[in-house]
Amino acid sequence: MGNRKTRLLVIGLLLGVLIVIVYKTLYPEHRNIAAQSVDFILSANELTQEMSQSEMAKKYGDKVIHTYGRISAITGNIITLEDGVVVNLLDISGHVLEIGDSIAIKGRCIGYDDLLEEVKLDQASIIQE
Amino acid sequence: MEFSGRIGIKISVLIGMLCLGFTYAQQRYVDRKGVVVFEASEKLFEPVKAKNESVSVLFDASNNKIASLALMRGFHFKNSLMQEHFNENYIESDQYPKALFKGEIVDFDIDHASSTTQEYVVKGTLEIRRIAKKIETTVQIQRIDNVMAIKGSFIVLPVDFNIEIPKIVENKIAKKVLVKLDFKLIGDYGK
Repeated sequence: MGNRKTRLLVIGLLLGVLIVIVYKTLYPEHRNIAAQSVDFILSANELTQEMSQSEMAKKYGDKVIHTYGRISAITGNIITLEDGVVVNLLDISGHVLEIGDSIAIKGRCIGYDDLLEEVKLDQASIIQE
Repeated sequence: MEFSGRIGIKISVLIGMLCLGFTYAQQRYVDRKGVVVFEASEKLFEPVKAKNESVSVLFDASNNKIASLALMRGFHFKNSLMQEHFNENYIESDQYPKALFKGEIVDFDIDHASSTTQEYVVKGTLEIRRIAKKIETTVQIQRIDNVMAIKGSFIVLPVDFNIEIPKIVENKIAKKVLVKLDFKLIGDYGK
């Protein structure tokens, strides 16, 4: 009797593990940019300069970038660095940001917007104020 | 005396022109966090839906020209694997990083746009993967002070942009893709 119970328990556990594995394969979690290592470190001005050349999109696209510069505009959780890099911050609570402040951030480069001539980063976090 | 009088007139004309300039409606309207959602879901299957909340929109009230740019990497799917397939296999975002719309709001007059929502026709071309497709749709526009809100939707076909859907997922992805847009443009004095 006890044998049958343990067998059922083992089968149940294996089934559970299998379901978790299948689910994780089908629905992997989104990248956590803040926890990933930095691919490139460059100033906001350098990043704008680099990205304005269309062949650079491949180099920086979807990569984790550490960039820094003076804040030139703030709208909600979106800040602009040196009039050229638009950063979508995940969380600004606990930070007092003002235009003119120097700041360093880490985020994912989503590309160059040649309409407004700006580089866009999202899922960004502040690493130094 | 006569000389300084002339300068005085010139200065007053200049001031007058400046004042006039500021009373005109804004010419350039910009949105940096426009929202574009697309959906190609089929009933009974997992929704195929993505949202981009950092779309750029630029409108020039002097000629009613409008342009909008969405970076492909900015589209966020609930399922990360679907997002990867969208970027790597369907759009090929490294090669074709953006979608660009350029067009015109037909018979629009910024001075007559008000807090009452009105419908206008927008005509233009949408370029994805370096393939341009003509788009004509109706949008709802509302203006409150220097904020201009534009809402609308249109349909595109993956085939139009040479996007191949593999046979194995053919039934799970709709043939028609509904694109919805929600923009809030703010009058800008220019950089």
